[in-house]
Amino acid sequence: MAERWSVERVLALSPDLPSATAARKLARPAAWSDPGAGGELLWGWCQGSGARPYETAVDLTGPAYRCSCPSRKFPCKHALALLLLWSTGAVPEAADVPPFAAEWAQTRAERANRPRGERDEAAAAARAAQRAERVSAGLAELETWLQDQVRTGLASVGYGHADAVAARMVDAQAPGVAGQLRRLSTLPASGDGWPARLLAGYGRLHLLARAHERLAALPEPLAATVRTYVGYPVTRESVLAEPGVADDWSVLAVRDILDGAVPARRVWLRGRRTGRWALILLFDPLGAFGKTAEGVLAPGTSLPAQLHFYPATPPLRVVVGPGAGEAVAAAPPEPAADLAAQLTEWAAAVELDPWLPEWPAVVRGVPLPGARAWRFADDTGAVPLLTGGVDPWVLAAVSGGRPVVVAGEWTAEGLRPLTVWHGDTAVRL
Amino acid sequence: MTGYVEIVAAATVGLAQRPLQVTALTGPAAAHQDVLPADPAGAALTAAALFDAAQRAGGLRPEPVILPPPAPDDPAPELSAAGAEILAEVLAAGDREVLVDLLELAGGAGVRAPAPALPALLALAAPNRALREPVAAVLGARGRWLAAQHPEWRRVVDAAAAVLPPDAWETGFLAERVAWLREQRVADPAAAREVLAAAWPRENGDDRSALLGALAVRLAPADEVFLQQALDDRRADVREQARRLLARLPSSAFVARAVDRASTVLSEHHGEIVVALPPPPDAAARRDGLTPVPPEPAVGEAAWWLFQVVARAPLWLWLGRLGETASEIVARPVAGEFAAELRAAWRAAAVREGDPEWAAALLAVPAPTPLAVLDARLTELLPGAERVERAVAVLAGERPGTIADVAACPAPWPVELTDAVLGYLGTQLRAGAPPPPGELPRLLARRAELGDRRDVPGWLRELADRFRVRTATVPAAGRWAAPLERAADLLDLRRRFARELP
Repeated sequence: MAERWSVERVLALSPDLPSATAARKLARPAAWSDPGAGGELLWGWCQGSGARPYETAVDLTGPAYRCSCPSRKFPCKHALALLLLWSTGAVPEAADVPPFAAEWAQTRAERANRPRGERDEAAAAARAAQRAERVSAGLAELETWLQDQVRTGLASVGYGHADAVAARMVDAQAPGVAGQLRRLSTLPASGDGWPARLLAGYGRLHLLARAHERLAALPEPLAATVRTYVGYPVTRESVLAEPGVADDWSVLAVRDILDGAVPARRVWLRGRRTGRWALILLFDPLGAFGKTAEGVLAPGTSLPAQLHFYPATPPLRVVVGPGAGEAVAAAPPEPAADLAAQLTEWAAAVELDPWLPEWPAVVRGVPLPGARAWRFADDTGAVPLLTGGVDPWVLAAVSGGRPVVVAGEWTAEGLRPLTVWHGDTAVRL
Repeated sequence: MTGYVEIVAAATVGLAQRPLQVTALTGPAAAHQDVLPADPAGAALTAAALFDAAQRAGGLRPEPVILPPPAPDDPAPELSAAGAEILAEVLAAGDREVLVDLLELAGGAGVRAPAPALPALLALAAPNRALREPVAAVLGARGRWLAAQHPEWRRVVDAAAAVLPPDAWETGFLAERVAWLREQRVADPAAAREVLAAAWPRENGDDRSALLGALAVRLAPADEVFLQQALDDRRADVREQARRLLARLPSSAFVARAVDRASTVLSEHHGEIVVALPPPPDAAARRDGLTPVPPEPAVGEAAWWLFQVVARAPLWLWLGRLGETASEIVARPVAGEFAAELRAAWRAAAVREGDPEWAAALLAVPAPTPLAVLDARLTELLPGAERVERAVAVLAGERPGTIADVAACPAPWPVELTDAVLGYLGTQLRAGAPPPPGELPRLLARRAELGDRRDVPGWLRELADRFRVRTATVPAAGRWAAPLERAADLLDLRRRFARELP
């Protein structure tokens, strides 16, 4: 029999103060029937508010706890009380382990004995197969739904029309699809021309469903892209297992997206030697991105690091590898090409990933204020400048009508400016 | 061949009602049209996906454009990066008084605001007249170029450069119309008055008082007839504005009436001032702004009538009649019970006429009545050096007064005033129950001469610590600590900012 623990050691396991207080009240022999201790196991029945007493067991080796009470605290007050009772010597040694405790102990032992890798791989493979099945079934339903929309007509739908099918996609383990549907659900309230935007969104989902049907036949990077849009999880560890790309990564722009389900931050980077684009995506339910080293990256600095790309085509999203240096102040980035050439590069990226919503930009040009719409021009001409969520006048002030270096994103509607360089200083817009 | 517009039109109504079989596509999407499935709904969705991708890949094309001229080169240096950071800090904190202080420092040093801060500065100054001039002074060529492109920001530049649009009178804001009228008054007072007189019947009641005020520029006897008419305006503020202007015309009938009413009321007899109470205001007096009912129940009717008659009379009336100088008159004892009302009336007259000599004289005697204007209004009329002298005496406890006497001292404060404030703080530290610190520490921080190189912030922080220690015995003392520390920070901030200026 294990040596009895002190009361302090038991109470240290308490998840919070109320649990400890409640456990102390229950730690008296009258509250328990047939408590027993055998080997590393404690058990007992505690009369709670329900008709049947709760079955409580504790494995001292973990320690691990099992209790039939509905509490979400872990360990619950019953398990703590049983430990307290035992620590005071009020739990007698007993040879007969009750079945509920014996079975639980057995399961734990089996799980512990099975080789870890084998167990995980087998379970993971089973889970993956189950998930693929669920997603396929879900996307088949989505396809039917999409076709119904087109047959019955978009004119009849309103704000929130796709919420139900979005919820269905969550059940089908396709959270990426669900997120896109939730965005499409708001489009009927988005002003003139919304049917064209809605149909385009339907088209992208239809394309995604069709691509998923042929997932096994797709080349691997494209299959990975499809899985990402559908919402298959990719673990950080698996990304870190990919070979890293070492470079000094210029931090080009930071954009916070706070209107989504979970606040997100995008950090756009470009390798100073490799010229590769990279995107760090951060999520935080409270929008507090500064908690991580990636979250405090600011435009105008450069991060010496190995970046590991998520499998995708074109590869964009990254995880910062271990051993990254400190971000240091850096010279403004050099635009790789003029507007026309960068648009061509973006077109090539869309050819690889037809769902791609935006593409990073580093351009040199002149912002042109306009009463209704702003534009951005260089020697090759002018493109629309998106001004939502940024102060374009800061851009105009820094420019003074002369070319400035701007980092941002290409979107279907135009260039979204995020950072402008005022001399050597990066200014967030 | 089907285009995206047709597909959207059919899908909006519904393919069930408006059948559409898409087999061939327009534009670049055609390159992939062989993937279109046979079923109409699937084909429409696939086509939508192709058009959407084609739009992202090729929808944006640089279009030819003629660039407008850039901002002219700016000879003034831009504020340093460290200075820009301090400015951004103050902008974010929203402390406009401190912002104005810094902008005036920068403007005085011939430095222009950092380009990224220009939009925030212009946006603040556009609706806020107090900020326009200090902001305009640091705009530089870049800022003026920027403001010219923004409909709301133009007025910041206009206000500073006094450039009015040519049609300001016909279409401008009230402030612009007043400015235009004042400009015209400088050039040709009579013509400007005629313009106002012609427009007068159509003018909005809210604007009339402000427009009439423009006649203060080169006010002359020729304006009297027009102002007399305004005395009968429907609106009280217009009538009062007309009275203010008429009172400045010594030859006007208005002033003559005021002199008539007042001349019999006061006389000097054996070194005393003797009061003969005036009658209640008749119709003519009421037209000139006198009211029969006192504004406060604490003031008696007779006292109120006396006050009005004397307050509206010109001060020169009393010289020679009651004494040779203002101080002699003010110091003279008053027979009967109305000494306070009399001094209050002279205070009002001194403020109206902006007379420093009367102001100095009146500040020396108390006027315990609710009708009296505050000492601060009189103090403002004194020359700066005299104000400092008074404030130093008030702080040293050698003369009665309030923080208003200190606040009346314009920046920059000389060392002697800074020292007096520090001395006063020390006195409060030792006091049994110090009153709340009020605005004093902040005033010191905003106005202390930056040339004073002593460690004033350090002293303020040390004082704050000592006040904090005092809270054990005098709880009220703790209230001083935080304002003193804020003042130390503010003074440090101004000094750091000043170091960034050439």
